[in-house]
Amino acid sequence: MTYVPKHELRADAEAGDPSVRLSAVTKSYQTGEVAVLALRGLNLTVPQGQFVVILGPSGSGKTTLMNVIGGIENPSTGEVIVAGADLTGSDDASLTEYRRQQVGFVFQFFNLIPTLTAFENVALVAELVGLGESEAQAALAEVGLADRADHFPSALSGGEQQRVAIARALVKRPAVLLADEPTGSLDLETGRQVLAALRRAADDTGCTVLLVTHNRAIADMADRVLHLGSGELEGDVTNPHPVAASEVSW
Amino acid sequence: MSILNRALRRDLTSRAAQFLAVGVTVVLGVAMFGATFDAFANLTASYQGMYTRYAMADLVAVGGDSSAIADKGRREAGVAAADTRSVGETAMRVSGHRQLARVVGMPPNGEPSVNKVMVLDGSNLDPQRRDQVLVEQHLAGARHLVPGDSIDIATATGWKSLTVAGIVASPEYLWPARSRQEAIVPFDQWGVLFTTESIVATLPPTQVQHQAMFVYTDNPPADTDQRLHKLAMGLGAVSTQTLAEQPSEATLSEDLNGFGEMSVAFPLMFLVAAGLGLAVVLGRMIAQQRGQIGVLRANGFSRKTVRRHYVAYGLIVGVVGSVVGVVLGSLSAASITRLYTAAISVPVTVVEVRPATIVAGLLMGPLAGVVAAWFPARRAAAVSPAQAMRGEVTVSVGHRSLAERLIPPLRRLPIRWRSALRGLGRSPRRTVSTIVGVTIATTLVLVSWGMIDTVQILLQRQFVDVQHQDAQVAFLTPMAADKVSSTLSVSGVAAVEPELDVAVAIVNGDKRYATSLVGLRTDTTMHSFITPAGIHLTVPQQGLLLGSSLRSVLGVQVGDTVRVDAGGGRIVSEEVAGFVDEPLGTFGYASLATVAELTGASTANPVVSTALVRFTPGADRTAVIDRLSAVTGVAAVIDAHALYDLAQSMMGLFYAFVGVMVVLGVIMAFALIFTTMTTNVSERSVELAALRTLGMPQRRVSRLITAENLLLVAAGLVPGLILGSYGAAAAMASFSSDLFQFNLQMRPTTVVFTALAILAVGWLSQWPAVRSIARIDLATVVRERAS
Repeated sequence: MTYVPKHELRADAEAGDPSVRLSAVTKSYQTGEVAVLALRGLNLTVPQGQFVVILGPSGSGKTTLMNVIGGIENPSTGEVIVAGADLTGSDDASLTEYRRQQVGFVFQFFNLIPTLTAFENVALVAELVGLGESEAQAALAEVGLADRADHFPSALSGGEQQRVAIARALVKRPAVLLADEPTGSLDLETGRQVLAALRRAADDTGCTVLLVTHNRAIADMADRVLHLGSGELEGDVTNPHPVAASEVSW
Repeated sequence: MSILNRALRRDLTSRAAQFLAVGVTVVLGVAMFGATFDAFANLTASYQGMYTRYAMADLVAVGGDSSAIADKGRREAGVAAADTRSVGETAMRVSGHRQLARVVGMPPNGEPSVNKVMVLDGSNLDPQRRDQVLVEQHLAGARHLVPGDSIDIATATGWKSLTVAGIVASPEYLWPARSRQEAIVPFDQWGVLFTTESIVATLPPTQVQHQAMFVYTDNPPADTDQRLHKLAMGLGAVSTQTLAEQPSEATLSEDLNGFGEMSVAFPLMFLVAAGLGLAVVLGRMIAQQRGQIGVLRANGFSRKTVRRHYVAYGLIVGVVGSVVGVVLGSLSAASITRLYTAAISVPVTVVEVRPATIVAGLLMGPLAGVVAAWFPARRAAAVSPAQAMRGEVTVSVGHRSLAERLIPPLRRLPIRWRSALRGLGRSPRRTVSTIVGVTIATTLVLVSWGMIDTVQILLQRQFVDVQHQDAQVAFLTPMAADKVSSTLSVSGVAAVEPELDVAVAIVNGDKRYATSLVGLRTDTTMHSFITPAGIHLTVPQQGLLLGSSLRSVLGVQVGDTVRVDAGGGRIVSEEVAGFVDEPLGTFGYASLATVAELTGASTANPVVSTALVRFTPGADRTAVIDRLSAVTGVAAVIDAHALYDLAQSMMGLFYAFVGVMVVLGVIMAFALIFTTMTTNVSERSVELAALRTLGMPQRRVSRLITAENLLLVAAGLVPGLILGSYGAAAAMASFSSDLFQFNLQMRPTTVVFTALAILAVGWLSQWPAVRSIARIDLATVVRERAS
């Protein structure tokens, strides 16, 4: 696998190269005694900086798609190229390195480390990629939590915890930010704050955002909406007029 | 089987490794209890069986008018039998080898009513013959004597040849201790012979004691000892010894008490560790099953049913562990008993299956299991159905670690290190369990190792720092002190000093202590006198130096005056000039003149029956001993290093003991740390998966968890080392008496190696948990959004 340095990636983006490209990707796995075909020959190209919402019912392959793009799972067949890196057939160490350098993750249940403060949760990842504390502070400030830096997760609201998770994902300036139901456990107001933070990430840093959700309302703020069903791309709609996160309602 | 019980069975199976670890700890605890408790009971019964069958004396009065003491004592309440005898100390010769011997007088018909002997080989003394001897089995073994062999004993008129009629065991020499002061004597240096009173009468009178012996009825009045003691002292006895005070019984009791204490303390440690492990596993299981518990409660299951369901896990693990432990314990008890009685040649071995021990063992495991499971089960029963079914999980409360609060610069550590530090406080219950487990294991190892250190260091002190002679030479007939040096001036001898050794009782008010008073030159170079404070003293011109245990036994201090009773009305008063700290035995020391005055001999140039000899450095010890033995007038030469060598060789038993304890400690530590660490990783699988997803290499995640685990082990080491030191000191104190003074001595390297060993066990036992990090399926964790 060949990694493309981030400054070169930006240059490539200006040249119009896609950030994510999947060609004929399939993914099957065993769940107990049942063989599941989660992705069926998926083809997808996402340009850099695009905010993409992926919709679909349970079992449609949304999360599997995220995992394949995020380097958590290898596809069974097909080709996956993200930020210039060909993930196809990569080993665990290469995928770990890829995730460390190029991908930011935001989970539904935040998955913050409870024994670290908000700042330390972000700084842990910064430390991992060789960045300093100032970048961690800046990332927290970007999500509006500079004044909550010394609080432990247990002292933060759900929305604040998710914004810390976004800051943790953004601190390394990833090429791709993957968010799996980031508002799934939040109320409307805090959900909007989180969505606004994700939108800003795409707008300000130029990273590609792929957001998986059951919530169709969120599609209104996307640049592009993908509909998955039974492991296939059933719809691919470009949204010419994405609304602001504050206007999203469910 | 009810549905709930099916769930229980499947839960046990799915966490088989953890429940197995807890179960093994229960097995070890129960087995250790059964083994040590029954071994203790078996050995006690074995000794008692021998005592009863061969009429072991319950009290022996030394000196005075022994016939009158026996006659009057026989009529006292509680006395079943009384007898008298003479006992002499002399030298013996077998195939050219000379050594010391105690010659015990037997009645003409060969069968005393008290302190009988058990003939193991050959026959008893023939009443018609006056040239036979019975040889105590330990001596016979050491000198390879069999019936029909010939031995010589030194009498007042020269060597007398005797024929070995039989090899015997004696209840009073089950462990052949020469005296309370010399509890361990190499069997080829000193041994016991039984022969007719008429032959004992041929020994030099100064070397013969007359004794009256008593056997009590089954339930004698409580004051029988006191009444007989008073009677004997009134008729001129020097001292009396109860059964418990007799050297063999006292020495064996020291060991037996060790078994007795072990049968409680060590199993308790294992059961506590098992309980902690069980509580941790159940705590985690209940946290994971909150949803299920909510469903059960919402469907009408009572709190009691839920509680009972989780208590059942503890009960099952406890019952299974107990059953296996009882079987192993019973088998081990029988083996230990047989090994032990074979090792010290006790001819009667009692091995019994004791229902009470089995019942106690069967109750221990379930009790520990139920107590340990009760608290998590109570928490499970308290789960609110609504809350549990919503799937709400209590978020761990984060805070800075105690170390960071106490040492602020730690807050600048790399974040992964801060995370490891704070991980310790994440689950206080689990942390405390691990620390307690590590503490117990460390204590177990350190107590065992501390005993080795103590014995090794104190043997070194006794035979290197205190005693400086290479040999003790016994003369056939007493010799003037100023003659010993020239008499023993053979090649290889560097120095010779006279020694005058007298059996006495040291008396303070109504307190008496029978011992040997050793007379030495005031400028002796054969012995160092070191006080408990480490100050070196010299033999005083006047007054006595006493073994330090006499300070409490007699209730005396330096400067006090005590009476020294040598029997036959020879009593002098002497001032206590100091106390000496000597590991083996409790002696009194005085100048040659002081001891000579007590015996009524010339104080200017007393006659002595022994001398201490130091060899030229590098001399061939065997050759020098042979040359000394060949000197005219020498009865025997006792190699001072033989006891040291014997003690060193006996260390093999200690090493085996420590090896077993260390292995058990390691198993316990492994089981508990394994349980807590796998629980730790299991609880944090999502968090660890998140770190891996964020790009943290698996090796770094593993290091993070390893660092946290080892910090936890290190936290347990501190109290473990402290408690271990106290435990070792207490264990050694329990072995200390006037026979042995074992103050704990521990090498710094022992503490370091114990700490390293426990850390290594900690590292190994958390390894399965750390390896499981590699197996965390990131996709599954992300896909299922587990929390």
